[in-house]
Amino acid sequence: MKSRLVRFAALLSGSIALAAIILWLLPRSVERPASQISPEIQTIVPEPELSVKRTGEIATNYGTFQSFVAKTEQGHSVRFDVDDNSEVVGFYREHQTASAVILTLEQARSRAIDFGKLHFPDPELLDSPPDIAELIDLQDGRFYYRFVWQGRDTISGAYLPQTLRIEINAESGIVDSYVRLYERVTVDTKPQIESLAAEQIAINMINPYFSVTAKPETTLAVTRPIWKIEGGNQLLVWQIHLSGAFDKEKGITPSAIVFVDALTGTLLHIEPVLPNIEQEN
Amino acid sequence: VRSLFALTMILLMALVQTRSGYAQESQISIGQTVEVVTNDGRLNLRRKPGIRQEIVAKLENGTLMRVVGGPQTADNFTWWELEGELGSGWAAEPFLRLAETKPNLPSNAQTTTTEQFIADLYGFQGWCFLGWRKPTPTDISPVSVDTVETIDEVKYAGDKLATTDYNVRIHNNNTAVEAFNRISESKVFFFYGHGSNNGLLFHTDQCEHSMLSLSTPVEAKNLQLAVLLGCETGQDINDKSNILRRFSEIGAEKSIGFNQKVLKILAADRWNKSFWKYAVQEDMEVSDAAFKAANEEIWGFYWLPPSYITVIGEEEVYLKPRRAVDPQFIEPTPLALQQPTPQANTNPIQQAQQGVQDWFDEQRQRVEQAFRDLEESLREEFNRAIREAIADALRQICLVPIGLVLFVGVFINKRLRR
Repeated sequence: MKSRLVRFAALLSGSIALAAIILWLLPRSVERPASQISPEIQTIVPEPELSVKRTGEIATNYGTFQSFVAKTEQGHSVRFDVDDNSEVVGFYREHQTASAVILTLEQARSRAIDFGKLHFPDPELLDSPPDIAELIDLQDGRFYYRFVWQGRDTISGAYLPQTLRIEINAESGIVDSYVRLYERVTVDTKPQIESLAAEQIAINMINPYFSVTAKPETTLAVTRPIWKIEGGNQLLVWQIHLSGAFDKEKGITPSAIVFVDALTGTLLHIEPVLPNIEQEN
Repeated sequence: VRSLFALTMILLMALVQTRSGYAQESQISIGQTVEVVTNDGRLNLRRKPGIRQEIVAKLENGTLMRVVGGPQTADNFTWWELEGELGSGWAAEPFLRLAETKPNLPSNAQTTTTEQFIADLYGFQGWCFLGWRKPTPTDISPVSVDTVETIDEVKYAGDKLATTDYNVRIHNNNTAVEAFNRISESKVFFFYGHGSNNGLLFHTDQCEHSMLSLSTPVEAKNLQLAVLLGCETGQDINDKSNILRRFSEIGAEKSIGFNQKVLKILAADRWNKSFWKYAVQEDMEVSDAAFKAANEEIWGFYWLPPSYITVIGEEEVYLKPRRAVDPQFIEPTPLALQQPTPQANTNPIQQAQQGVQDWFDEQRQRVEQAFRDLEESLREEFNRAIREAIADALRQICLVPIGLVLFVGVFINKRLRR
């Protein structure tokens, strides 16, 4: 009897211990110190007590990013997207307004470069002039500057999966939003198929459906298969935008983007272009 | 054996060419339909180019296949990647010739070649070009989410709005006239389809289409948000005919559009999903949600240039139920294309009384709603605080005795073994 009692006590204590361990392993408070998520967050919002809350994740062709939101001392929300290496791949400050343009384009560019050099994995990209540098007027009295740098292969001119976009508040000069794509190139960037040959493959594909009348707009790029929902390996592709003649009856111009593997000539994907309407019916 | 095999193949090739009169130089290219031509027996469809590669199917003489890849050279043959009813794989060029017939596309007398193009790509048969995805009419309940296309996306937006007690009903297959009438009763107007600077295109499943250009006077006093996911809807908003501007003028608190062509459907789909997620699930202000969603296209949706968002309207708009749900939306009523015009009240005293009454009603509703919002937020805060406090307390309680309990367990076990 005594032995049974002792066994029961042992079993009970073991169960309690197990339950306690499981409970301990359960997610703690929803909010966590920002430094636990990524030390980079603290450099973007330099507040010692900053805590973040996970809001979800974003599945992309370039990986799945975890999303967090932090509340600043001023009560503003900043949303961060963090990759597997705890690096911030993007952030967005909510409720940012700029009712006047105080900064010049050059001043804003300088701030964007300073910020980019601290955070973008390849700071050399920022030594080249930005591909886009513009003042955005939201037409409601709000302004900000947008800068975009796009990595290009120096020999073939192919777009690389290395893009940086920084937006600077035109009044306060703070970085309102930052988003970057950076991936090492793992494929040969020299095309084995000439652009004209790729265009011919694309035109042959499209011809049964509409006659290509406009000159193809063709670009070379290293990319993951962005026509898929997510995943896929890097490819060197010719992206060929084809358009047909304007269809008066429907008020649209048929159009499609054809992706051709620039190393093998294989047709990869056809993306019908969502046509806009060019006249009233 | 290899020599004998090669000789046999060469002879066979020569025979095929003689019989078919097929030209020496290749006329085959990707996208074309080819016919299998064998002198005797069946043609092997192989997993990879090469005569020793695994056979995935055997094609009868006359089988039609579509060329989807190639050419590649292996074992002295030119190989093409084919696709057909029996599967896909590689076949040697000498046993193929261009089919005289057109590609095996959906048969619909009304469709044009462009429509076939879309139909073939998306697998929709008998569906007109203007519909990328065949909608299924689905009624959920109030607040109009109007669209012409992409039922999945609309369902998604509708579901999300429904979670905020917005009482969503989804309209598909609309005409512009129907859309006009619904604008006046909607809180959210969502359009996903073919747009332009000055209009939105609506269509029916009979492929009739009509333009919503807002040239007809219409009021949208209930409209909190208009989302126009279509090409160039937000382009050149200083133009008086701009559709986004017109939505703002007729009463929309906030209107969101795109100031460039929305080239890729996938990009539009992704923006759409992210936008509703942020605006509804994560309670972001709608313009923040729109910009944040647009920022994400960098991760594979696009290269340069991105589709930029245009937002009109200064008031902050949240899609949480911050105002009373209009009782008329609880039960959807059949839509009358021509809404009866209410009789105008010409008595100035009655008009003034009515005005005062309306004002009081409005103020009362606002106060009631403010109380409801406060109550809801307090309840949420309280529940969250209680949950966290209980979890923390349990952890604290369990952490201290855990070592003790383990120790006792081990001690008892040892005693038991003795």
